Formats: sequence, C-alpha cells, structure tokens
Amino acid sequence: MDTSEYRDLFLAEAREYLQGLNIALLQLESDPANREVLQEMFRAAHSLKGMSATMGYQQLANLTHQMENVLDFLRQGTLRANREVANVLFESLDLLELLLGRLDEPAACLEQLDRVVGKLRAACDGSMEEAGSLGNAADGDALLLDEFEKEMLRAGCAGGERARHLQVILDASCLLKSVRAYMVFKLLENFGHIVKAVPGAQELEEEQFEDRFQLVILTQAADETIRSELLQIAEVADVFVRDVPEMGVPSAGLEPAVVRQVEVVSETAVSQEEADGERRNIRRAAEKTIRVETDKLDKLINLVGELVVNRTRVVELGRTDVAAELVSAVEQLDRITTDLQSAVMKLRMVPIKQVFDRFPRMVRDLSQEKGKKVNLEIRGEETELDRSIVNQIGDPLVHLLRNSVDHGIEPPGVRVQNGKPEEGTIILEARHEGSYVLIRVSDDGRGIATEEMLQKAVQKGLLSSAEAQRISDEEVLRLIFRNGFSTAEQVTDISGRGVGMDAVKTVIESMNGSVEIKTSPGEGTRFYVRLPLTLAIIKALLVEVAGEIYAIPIEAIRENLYVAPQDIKTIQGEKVINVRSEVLPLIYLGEMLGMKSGSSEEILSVVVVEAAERKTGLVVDVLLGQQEIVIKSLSRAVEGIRGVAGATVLGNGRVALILDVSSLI
Amino acid sequence: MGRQVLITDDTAFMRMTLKNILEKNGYQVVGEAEDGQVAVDKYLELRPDLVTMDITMPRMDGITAIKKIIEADPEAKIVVCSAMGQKALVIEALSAGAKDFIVKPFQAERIINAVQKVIG
Repeated sequence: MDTSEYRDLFLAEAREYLQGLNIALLQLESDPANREVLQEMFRAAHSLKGMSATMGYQQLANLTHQMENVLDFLRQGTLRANREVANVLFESLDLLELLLGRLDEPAACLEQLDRVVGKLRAACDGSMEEAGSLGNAADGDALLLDEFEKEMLRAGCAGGERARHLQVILDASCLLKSVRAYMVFKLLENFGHIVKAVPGAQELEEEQFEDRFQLVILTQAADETIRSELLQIAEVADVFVRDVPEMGVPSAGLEPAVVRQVEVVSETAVSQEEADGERRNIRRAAEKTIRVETDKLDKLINLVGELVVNRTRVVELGRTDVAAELVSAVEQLDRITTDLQSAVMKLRMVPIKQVFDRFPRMVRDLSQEKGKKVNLEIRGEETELDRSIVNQIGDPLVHLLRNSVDHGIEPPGVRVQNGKPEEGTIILEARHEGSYVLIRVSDDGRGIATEEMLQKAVQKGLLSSAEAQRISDEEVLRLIFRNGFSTAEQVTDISGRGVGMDAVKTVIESMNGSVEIKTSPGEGTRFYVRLPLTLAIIKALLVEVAGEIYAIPIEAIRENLYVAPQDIKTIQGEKVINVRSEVLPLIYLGEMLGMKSGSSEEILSVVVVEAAERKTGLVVDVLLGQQEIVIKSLSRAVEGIRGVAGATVLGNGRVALILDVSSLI
Repeated sequence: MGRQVLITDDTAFMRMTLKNILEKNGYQVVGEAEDGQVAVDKYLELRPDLVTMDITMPRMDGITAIKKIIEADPEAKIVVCSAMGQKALVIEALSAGAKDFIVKPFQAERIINAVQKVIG
C-alpha cells in the first residue's frame, strides 16, 4: 500500500497522541492510582501502534507495542506506576518523538530502540514479581476470581500443580482472532487445564476482545516452556506468564470476597462511564475544529491585508466626494472590512497551551536531574496569541524556566533550613494586558543577589568600578541580559553559559516584545515577558523625513515632543536634550538614513523611542499621525538593511518603510 | 533443496498465487490439487512436508480431506486456507488435526509466517 499521502496526517495525529501521553504520564506520576488516565494512555498507545503498523513503520509499532504492554499491566494493577516505570515510559515517549522525526530513516535509532524495548520488557517482567502483592485491579478486563475458581486453584496447587496467570497478546493485524484463541486453548490443554479466561470463552468466541486475553491455568510445565510453545502459534505476538494475583492474598472467606467484588464491579461501571464521558468531550471538541494548512491561512490573511489597505484608500476618496450615498456606502464598507480583518486575525490566534504543554515534562526531568523538588503551576494556558509568536516564544520560555529550576529554586535541604517548604514553586502564567500578552515566570527561590552580580560584572569588565558605584539595583539586574554575563559558579549543561539570557532578550525584542526582571533576595525572582498579540498588523506613527514617509511602531514610542533649538545641548560632541531631568541623545533621522532633511522648521519634532532600555529622541520633519499598518516583509534582495524592519502600503498606495527602532539607536 | 509443499485449492488463481509466494520464499511446490480427493491421493503419493488445504471444494471438502490424511499419517502437517467468516469450519479443521490456518485474501508475510512455524 502506498501510504505516503497519509504521512502528514499520520504525523499530525501521532504527535497529538504523543503530547497527550506526555501530559497523562505526568498526571499519572502525581496520581498513580488514576485508572482513567491509565485507560486513556493505554488507548493512545494502542491507537499509535495500529497507525504505525498500518503505515509500515515497524520500529514505531514495536515500541508502542511494548509500551502498550506495560500500560496494560499498569491498568490491570499488576504493575505499580513507580518512578522507574514512569522513567521508562518517559524515555519511550522521547524515543517515540525521535522516531517520528526520522520516519524516513528506517534504520535510525535501532540501538536506542533495543535498549528502550528491553527496559519496557524488563518492566513487564518486574510486574510478574510484583504480582500477587496487588489484588486491586478494578478494570473491566481485570482478573476477578470467584470462590469456586479459587477453590479449584487451591485444590490444583495442593495436587502439585501451579497456578499461572497468562497474558496472551495477538498481532494487531490478526484475522479470525477467535480461532487463534482456540488454538491457544487447544495447545494449553497439553500442559494443564484452563480455570478461567478473561474475557470469557463466549466473548472470545464472538471475537469481543481487542488483541489480548488473560487466562488462569493449572499446570506443571515451566513458565518458559509455556511461553515458547504459545509463541509457536502464528500471530501470537507476545505471552507473559506470572503468578496469579489472587492466590497471593490470603483467603478471606466467602463473604468479604463477594462484597469486595461487588464494590469493584460498580466502581468499574462508574469509571467506565466517566471515561466514556471524557472521550465524548474530547471528540466533541475535535469536531468543532478543522485543520487548515497554514499556507492557506497566511494567504487569506495577506489578502485581507490588501483589502484593508484599499479600504483606507476608498475611505479617503469617499471623504473628498460630495455624493452622500457614496459616503455612507464607503462607511459601511469600512465597518465590514474592519470586522473581517479582526475575524481573520483571530484565525491566526492559537492558545499558548501549545507551548506550555511541554513544560511540565521538562521541569520534571530537570528538577529530577538537579535533585530539586519543583512544582510547576501553569495559569492562563488558554490565552491566545499569534501563531508565529507562539512558534517563537518556546525557546525563550524554556530558558527562563531552566534558569528558575537551575539557579532560582534551592536544593530541598537549603529550603527547609530557610524555613521554606521543601518543594519550590514555579508559576508560569499568561494573560492579556491591553494589546499585549503578559507571560510571567516566577519562582519562590533564592532570588538574585545584586551585590554578587555587580562584582561579577566588574570582574568581567562589563562595568568599570566607577560605574558600579552609581548603578541602581534595577540596572544591575538588566546586566543578566548582557552578552557574556553569567552568575552560575559552575557552567552546567542547562544554563549558566552566559549566552542564554541575552538570546532570550533578543528573540523577544525581535517580536516587538519586552522582558523585565524583578527579584527579592530570599523570596524569588519574576520575569515578565510582554508580547504583542499579533505580528502581522501593528499600530504605527507615520512620520515624514526628507519627503519620505516612515512608520515607527507605536510600541517603541514613549512620547512626542517639540523641541526648540536652544534646548539642544552638546555633550561630548553628541547632541542631547533634557526631558524632565533625563538626558536623551538625539538622532537626526534624515542624516541617519542618508537623506537630506528638508525641514527648515525652527521647532524640531522629536519622537522619543525606547528600545533595549534606552531612550532616544528621533528628529523628524513632520508627524503625520497614527495608523494601523499591515507589515509586508521585504524581499530578500533588500533584507537586513539596518534600521528597517519591513514595509507597508499606505492608504494612498504609497509605500512606507517601517523603522526598526532597536537597530537604529 | 526447499521443503516440499502440496497446494490444495479449487481455483487455479489461488493455487498460482500461493505457489508464487511459496516458491519465492524457497519452498518447493511438488504438487497441486483441485479438490479434497486429489489432495488425499497426491499426499499419499508425494508425502510432502506440508499441505495447504482450502476448505470449500467440490467432490471432497477440505475438512474431510484433513481427516483422511491425518488418518493415514498422524504426523501430516496441514495448514488450512480459509475465507473470512469460516470460523466454525476453521476450528473444525484444527480439531481434525490441521496445524495452523491462514485467511484469504492471502498476504505473503502471513503465509510464510504460518508455514515457517509449522515446518520451519
């Protein structure tokens, strides 16, 4: 079968399952007894196995198959979800992700696959040893022996036979499963006799089972013999032989056993119902959305952008025309396009959940590695942001979180000494704030010692000792974002290399965002990341310089001033102005951009902009006004010109360059 | 030399398909039978290592043929070829002494898997 055309769909769906598994596994780790989660995970692994096998991805099928086995034991209750098991599963998920990324290399990661599969198998074997200590299976498929069956087993054991619990797993693609089951039964009759089958003989015959069934048998044969004999049957994928759980539990007499069974059964019914409900919810949510290629979406957005530009033009023409009907038609058009624009822009918005979802796993791994106890609290994950911002914000946030785990949160011992709870808390929160989204990363760790930082900065030559005397605490903190600065005593593989924080700042600022840091020693550190809602349309101030129109993003502008020539001072050869006792350098935009400034005005128009924590006054000829503009990226030929971030088409059809303030000053 | 196989099926197309698959995988198809009676006769004549046996065939059906062959040679290795939905018949064939079964439409992998498990 040629499956290449389904590849993308497969990948998208597989990644969803993978993400779901990651989240569920974290949930399971904090709540190991949660049967619905186990059920969910088992189903996900099972679906992945089926999908992979259909697509012919043998490695994926193999891996998910082994995961499925482990999950099955977990949901049966014969294996406990302890840390080792969770780690193996996490490792499997990592490998799964790796394999998904390398679908076209069938021989990739074979060694790793062998190792993980081996570990998964070992976990299953472990379940055999542990079996018997846990008789608490409450799943629909779980083994529940009635008194009669127990009696039979006891009698058999007294007669020198051993009670064995068999889990038989058939190939996912097996046809006529009931006949395979029949062959298993037939073969087992050579070794002993079957006391119980789950699902029952009737269901097995009617093929009312997925790909596996459990048996309890009495036999004298060795486990390995049974296993290898059963594996001789075609399409028997795997067999596990172990102790019968119930036999390890001392017989509690008839009555309590019956009571317990009833309880267990009703519990099963409830959890099944709940699980069904949950599944329905998931499906309902899925039906409300459709997948659209991002290219198509971008094209639509681009077209709407053009429409908006032309609308502005029509609106301008409408103003000059006297025909009242035209004016009202144009106003109508104006309203509709505005609505259309905002509706289309919303299409680009995706919840930040997409990014946040991967963090619990990361923080967990990291804190385990560092021997720290960290609780990550996520808030506002439904906050929506432009897709392209969501795509880019991941790495900076990873870095901030790593920083918090690595440098912020103290080791448990230190925390207790300082009278803090042993477990540190990191809060990752997103919320809307005006036309911005604010993302806050805060920890209750040791905070940042500004004194120490200052010493470091002087040592590294980032500051002179004279500068160090004058610098405010706030400014000291900003040093964190300077290239080449690191306070970590030791460079770890996570953070402390001094290249991270300045990269964080650069990425965030490239999205017209900003990052701020606040700290209180001993109490923790907070990072505030502010991001615009969208990158495609911005509000800008239009200015004229030497006859050309330029757009300055509103976000960068602090205020506009008119400055008289006598207010301009010269310090060390540079022109500056004094605004409310703050000294601002002046940049003559015309000269800067290599044009002759045509302004002979006495009074200068100055736009005060701020970027990289620095304020500067830009001298322009005329302030034209504020407008929403659609950003068009420049073609490659003129890309990367200093000071220019892009271009836009104005209402009158003229092109205006958008200034990149941070590279200008 | 490959292990010897006798193919039983009433349609020439299925015989050809099976023969191709088996020969490609190193087995030697020593005979073909179009019904149960021919299969029994040829088995006794050729004594192959393995017989593939269709169930529904004119003159003598597969199950009767399996019984006759096993009667003559309790060690005979027979793999049943069945269509979907012949579950009861497959079970009957297995209890009559067939070693395994494969389900039509045939997939090379499954056939070889089954044959290998029976005769190696």
